[in-house]
Amino acid sequence: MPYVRILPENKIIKVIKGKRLLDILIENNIKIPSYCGGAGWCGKCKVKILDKGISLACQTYVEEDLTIKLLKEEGTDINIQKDFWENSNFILSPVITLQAFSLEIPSLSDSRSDLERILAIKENIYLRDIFVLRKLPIFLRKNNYKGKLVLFENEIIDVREEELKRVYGIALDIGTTTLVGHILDLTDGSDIDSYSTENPQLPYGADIISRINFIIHNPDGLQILRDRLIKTLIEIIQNLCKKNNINLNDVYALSITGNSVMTHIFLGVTPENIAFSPFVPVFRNMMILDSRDIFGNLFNAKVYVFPLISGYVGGDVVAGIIATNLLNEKGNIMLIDIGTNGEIVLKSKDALFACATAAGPAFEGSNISHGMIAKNGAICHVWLEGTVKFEVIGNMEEKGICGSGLLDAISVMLDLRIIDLTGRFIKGEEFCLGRVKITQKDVREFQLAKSAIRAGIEVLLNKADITYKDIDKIYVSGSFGSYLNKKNAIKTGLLPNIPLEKIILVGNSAIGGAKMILLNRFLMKDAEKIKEEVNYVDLSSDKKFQEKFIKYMYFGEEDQCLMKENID
Amino acid sequence: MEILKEVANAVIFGDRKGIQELVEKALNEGISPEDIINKGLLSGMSVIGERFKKNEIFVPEVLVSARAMQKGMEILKPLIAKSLGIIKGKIVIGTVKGDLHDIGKNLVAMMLEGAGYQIIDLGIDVPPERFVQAIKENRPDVVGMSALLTTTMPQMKVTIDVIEKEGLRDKVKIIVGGAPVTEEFAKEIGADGYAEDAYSAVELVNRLLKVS
Repeated sequence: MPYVRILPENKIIKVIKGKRLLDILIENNIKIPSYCGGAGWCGKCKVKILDKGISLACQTYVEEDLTIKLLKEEGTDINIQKDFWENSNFILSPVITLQAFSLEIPSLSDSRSDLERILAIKENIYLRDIFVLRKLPIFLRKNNYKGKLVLFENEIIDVREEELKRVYGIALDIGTTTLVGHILDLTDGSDIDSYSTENPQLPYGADIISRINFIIHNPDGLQILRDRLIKTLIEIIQNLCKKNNINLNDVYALSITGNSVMTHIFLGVTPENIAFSPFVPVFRNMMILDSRDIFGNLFNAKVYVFPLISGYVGGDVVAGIIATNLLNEKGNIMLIDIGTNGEIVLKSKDALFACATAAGPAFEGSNISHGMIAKNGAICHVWLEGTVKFEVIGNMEEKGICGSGLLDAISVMLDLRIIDLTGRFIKGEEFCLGRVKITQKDVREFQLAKSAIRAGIEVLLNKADITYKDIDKIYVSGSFGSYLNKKNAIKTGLLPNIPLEKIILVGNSAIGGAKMILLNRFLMKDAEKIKEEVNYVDLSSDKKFQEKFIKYMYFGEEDQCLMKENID
Repeated sequence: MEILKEVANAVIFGDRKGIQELVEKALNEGISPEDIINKGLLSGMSVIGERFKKNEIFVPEVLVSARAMQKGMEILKPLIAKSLGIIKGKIVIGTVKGDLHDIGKNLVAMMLEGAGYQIIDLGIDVPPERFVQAIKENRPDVVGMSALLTTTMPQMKVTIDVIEKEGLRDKVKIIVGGAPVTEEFAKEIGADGYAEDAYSAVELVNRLLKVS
């Protein structure tokens, strides 16, 4: 059996001859990006093989002893902009409440059971958790029949000492690319801290389709993806508690939001049928689970899982609708979440429409030669100021370009007539920003992605029988949405030509909604209402979408669209 | 033959309105429908194919040109059928089960039609049984399958297996295509050919059926 030595860690692994290097690295928990899931086209899993040069790990089969060097990728410091709704005032009525009690001490004249005594504290409360029942007799006698009930709505989920003042909740957003966690104080509503890291499923593919593929083709695929996810979520939870000196036992509620595929995987339910027409999910309902069923005996909390709208419009969109208060706002309002998928919601009159576009991961960096997600080292803004200037996240040397940077770069390329309105290079063959290059293929990928989103916008406007001129507001969310240059979004045709002040960047709206639901339990009803009322529009079978997808592939406003009359 | 050049140019620029007039003008000048197709419409389309391959133009231009070509074909097709009835071959085409994408498949169909093949387009989300039925009913020379998703690609193999089981495999050539499909994949599932783009698909079919 050959050995693989991995530098710079100097880790040595004994492997089965003929095994694929990428699989070896993943199985040994060595961080390696692979957006295409090992299909050989994304080029992200490059390693240096000593004496042989650069090679793709997914295309390398280990036949003899090898020494490889990992090419450095940045750590987990992903920047997410500060959320805008922190300013918006809303009523605090957290999912977890504390109820202080001081019980009559039992006597021969009052020999009610321990539980009866507890249930008499407040109307309608009940106990289902056998662990709490087991704890009860010892707790009551040790604490002199005084303490606090921890309630989730009317359910007693714990009994705690009188001194307990604060309880906490954690909101988790399971993105295809990024996992985000926020820890909140459920007694005063404050957002204490946040933590984000890459989705550990990334080596199995950048998009949900490659993840599903992995599940279909590997008998343990679902288990592997789920285990990785749960392990990293636990790390996030522990990290948030440790950093803020919070006892894990004081965390009583979690809210989980994610797209439909991620939500399925989180629950260990196969998402495979979402990949094929007619795209059927296993469930759409919200779930309230016991944390011990998911995270083991680490802590005891209620886990709220957002409902799903369809196979391609998930709980992250429901959370986004809650965060932007779409249910209650008046006028024609859009919410566009640009992540690995692009989901679009339109509220018009009293109707809600939603669709998902396969924007592809172009806005999150894969499929782009020097693409990367919005983290340290990514070019996030490009502009003209005499010469071409650019800004790098983290103020360091440029390592790649993220979605917003690409949008700006393409806009600059249009201004400088490096590319024409059809997207073709008319000056040179590539556009350089320091060490980062943008090629013809990258421009094409961008065109496909932006046109998919724009066509989705237009289809929804059609459904509501309005035009872009009727739009009162567009909320743009997603990490791409945090750095987006509105002018360039219009110039490239990604967004329709509406006054800039009507476009509002809201950062990660999914985590916003997940946080809000922890702080206001009545929003769970809103989430149910959203699930029921949103009309899902399937674009893949929509003829108009395909027409529009072609129509918006070029740059410039639609009125100048070169081929307009020939395409309609 | 200035007029044929004009027809070709109308295809290249996607001038769907102008092409009608030009084709009629060419017919009035006494040029045969076959020549208008081959030296006008198709020569324009092959310029587009080349440019697309070289990355000079993008999907919209190809589609617009293909539609202009189709407009021309609409006028000429009845005339060919009447005069000679030459059809280079019959092709059944469709997007496999579970997959609803059809831009690429339509483009291939249009290009093949332009190249003189008769197309039976089964549309999208086509289960193996529908392919089998279409083979039995139409006796095509070639069956073309398209898939845009990595999850639906395996349906190509399933379809080939069903065709095989029905004893029809040696009656047709099977070709596959679509963004995630590769030459190796085509070989692996036992297809007769793979084409990277619509233009290459015509070359592939010509090669398989030994026509030029």
